[in-house]
Amino acid sequence: MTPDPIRVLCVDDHAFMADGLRARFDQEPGIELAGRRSSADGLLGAVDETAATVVLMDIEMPGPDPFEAIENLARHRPDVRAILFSAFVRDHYIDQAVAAGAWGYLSKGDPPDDVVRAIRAVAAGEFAMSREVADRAAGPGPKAPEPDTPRSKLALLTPREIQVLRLIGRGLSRVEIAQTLHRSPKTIDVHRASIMEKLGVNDRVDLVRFALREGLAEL
Amino acid sequence: MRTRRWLSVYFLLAAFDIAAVSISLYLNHLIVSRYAESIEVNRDWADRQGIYASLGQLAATVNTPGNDVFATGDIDAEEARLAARAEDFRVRLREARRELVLDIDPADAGPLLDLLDRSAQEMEAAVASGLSIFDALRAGDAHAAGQRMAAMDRRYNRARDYLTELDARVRLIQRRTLDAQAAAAADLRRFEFLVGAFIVLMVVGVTAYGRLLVRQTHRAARERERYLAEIAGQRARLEAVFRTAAEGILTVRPDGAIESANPAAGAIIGVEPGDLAGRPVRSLLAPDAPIPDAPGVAIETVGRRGDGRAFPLEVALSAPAPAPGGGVTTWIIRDISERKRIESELAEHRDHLERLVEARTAELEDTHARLRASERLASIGTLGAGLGHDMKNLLFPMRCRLDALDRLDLPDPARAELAQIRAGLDYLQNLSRGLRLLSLDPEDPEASGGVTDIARWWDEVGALIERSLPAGARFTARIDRDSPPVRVAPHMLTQAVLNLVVNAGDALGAAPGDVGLTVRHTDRTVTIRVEDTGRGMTREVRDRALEPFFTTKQRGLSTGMGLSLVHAVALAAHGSLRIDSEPGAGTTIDLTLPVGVNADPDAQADSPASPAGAVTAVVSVRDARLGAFASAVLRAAGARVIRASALNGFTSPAVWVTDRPDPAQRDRFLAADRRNRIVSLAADIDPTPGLIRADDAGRTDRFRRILAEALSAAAGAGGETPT
Repeated sequence: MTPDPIRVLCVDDHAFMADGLRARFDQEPGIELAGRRSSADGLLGAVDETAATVVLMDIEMPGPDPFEAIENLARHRPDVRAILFSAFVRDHYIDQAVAAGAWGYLSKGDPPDDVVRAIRAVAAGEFAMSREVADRAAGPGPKAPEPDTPRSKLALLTPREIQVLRLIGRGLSRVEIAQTLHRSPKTIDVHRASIMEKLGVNDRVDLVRFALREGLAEL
Repeated sequence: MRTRRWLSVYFLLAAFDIAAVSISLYLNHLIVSRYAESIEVNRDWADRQGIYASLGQLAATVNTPGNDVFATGDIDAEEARLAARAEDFRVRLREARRELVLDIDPADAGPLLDLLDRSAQEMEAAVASGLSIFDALRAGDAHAAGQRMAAMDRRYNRARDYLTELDARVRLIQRRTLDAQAAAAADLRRFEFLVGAFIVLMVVGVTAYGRLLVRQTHRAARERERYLAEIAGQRARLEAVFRTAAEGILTVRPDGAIESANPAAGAIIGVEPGDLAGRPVRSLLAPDAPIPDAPGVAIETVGRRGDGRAFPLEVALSAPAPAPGGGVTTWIIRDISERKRIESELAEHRDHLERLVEARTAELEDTHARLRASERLASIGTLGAGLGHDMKNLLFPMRCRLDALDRLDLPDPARAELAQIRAGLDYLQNLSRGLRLLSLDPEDPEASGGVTDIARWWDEVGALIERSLPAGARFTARIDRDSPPVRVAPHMLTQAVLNLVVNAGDALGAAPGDVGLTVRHTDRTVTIRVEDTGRGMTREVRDRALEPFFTTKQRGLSTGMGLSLVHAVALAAHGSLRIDSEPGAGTTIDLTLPVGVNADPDAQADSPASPAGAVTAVVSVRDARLGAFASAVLRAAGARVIRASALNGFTSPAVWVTDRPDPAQRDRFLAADRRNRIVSLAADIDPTPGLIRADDAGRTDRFRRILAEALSAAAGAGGETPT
């Protein structure tokens, strides 16, 4: 009996991404593109509709926080596995991904073959990391690790703060951020102040720049 | 002005007083004269009354003979008597008449005269009758005599009546005159009251005025006393100022001699102030020292102390206080030697500061220039990173499609084209990575992570780099194989050096030339030098060479990112980039990078103690995902990973990742090899040497680190066993 094909839901706001994946999956037995969405909004519903078994989720997208969506998915549909798929590789994304319940973290710089392999591995119960990610995930080398120095300043931030920073990077106002995260604007102010203090940044422009550099948002 | 008013009042009062007295005197005089007059008049009338009374008597005497003859019978004597008395009467009447005419007002005199005349007439008739009596008697007619006597008596009574009426009239006149006089006196008396009142007023006025004057005088006296007291007070204050002022104060007479000096002046000159008095004020100054030529203006001059030493002195003069024979001038002197000293010090400081400011300004301008450049770089970097990111999003699907195409059955030309497309995509992939490098922040772990062993790196990329040069370029590479590793990731180093070499090739242009690559090192740094014999850079080009998008090449051939990229790599690694270039004399670029502490992980594979690769990791975690993650991390670090539900078989050295370490198994595992490590996700576990707690697995970064530590310990590197 042929096992059920791996049905991949592509959540990415770039139109070409899903088409490219489909073209690639067409060459692969046992993997097919179940559908595409352009944001993490209504992920659970989309998974149900498309009968997806694996979700390939971009990080920099407008709409709800992808990590929260993954968390939600892991809680309600543990049978469906989410893999983060981003143009940027960051230590903190790895950590956030794992914390949120993702099964993998891939880079869009990876060759498509690696991505396909990773999807298969995840479907088989392994954790998938792209080469770049693996190098970093393994931590400091065998000799003399630097104790307790965060490798990225982002590691200093709480997941919520990273969320806020991402939205700042996208250029949302504090009211818009508050609405998106279902919090009060004052709470957002508190988060922003904390972020700026932790990152040692003095103004919004630098915050946005930092967010862009860290790949928390795209232009 | 008050005085004048007071004086006017005084004069007015005086005039009034004089007037009052004069009027009073005059009035008095009038009253007295009237009084005298009235007495006179009254006496006159009294006299007249007397005369008229005597007239009556005389009339009676005239009548008597006529009567007496009858008694006496002496006709002749009686007749003579009658004639004599009648003559007397006539004389007296004439006198009275004349007196009336002369002295009395005709209005009054008229009726009186009339009465007198009538009386005279009657008396004449009486006389005639009387005489006729005598005739009759002579004739012996007694009867006729008797009748004539009766007639005479009748005439005489009429005359007497007229005289009585005259008397009555005179009384009337007297009364009238008296009344008039009394009235006049009463009138005058009225004035007298007025005058009396004036005099009282005068007295009151004088008294009041006198008192006012007295008060004025007292007030004036008090004012004067007060002024005097004020003056005394001011004087005391001035004296206090004079005594206690810090400035020297001298008063100088018109002849130039010092009249007085305050203690400060004495202190400034260095003598007792008393000694200054009488000295010429010029003796306090150096010869020919200037003094102010206008009052109120302070000038700096040269003073002379008591012992003859000169010192800087400030002098100001007042205008001379006016006084006969020329006034006293006040001199204010200040010892400004301290001030002068401070001024010169300040001038020195100022010069020093100016020099410092110049230096700092130059530094600042330099910093600003660099800041602007780095900000531009940062902005470019941000844009670049975003662009690189965007590119990845496009490149991946394109590569997917290429892969798909590759799997199709295509003719060779098509395959060749596909290969070209793939090469293009690879280039773009690298470019996107390169763009990402531009945005690198030295804090960024990607920047600071990674180490490259030079010798091995050159073995891999040397050919590629050499191939990037044009045909006419002669390439020489001198690589120090003993060079310590640099703290830069291999792909970044490749990117940077490739850029330098390509630039060097471009600098040669079409002409043949040399490009050399040399690697040197010190204890702490490794310097990669790329030099060419190309056209070199002008100063302007050299200054802008590191600017992103700045290029001297034709558009289309270069994005102008190369050197800025190399610079970014250098900065990110805390290294530096130096450009030496002269037009026509070629270019030398030194890329200096710090030595990397960590060895290239790949290099570990060659070394005898290949730690991570020899370690077995057993992952028995109920949470499949967490277990999968731990496995992936350990595998990526080089361990041999076994996923099992329980610790069954393992070979030491090993790391056991578990969420329920059975105590017996735990002890057995740890005893098997000193290097073995347990990573426990269980919360309630006793500390044991060799067991690392990772119960906060939610903190993924910590979890990863713990895994790495455990692996490292198992690999035999690092002595301490973390608990």
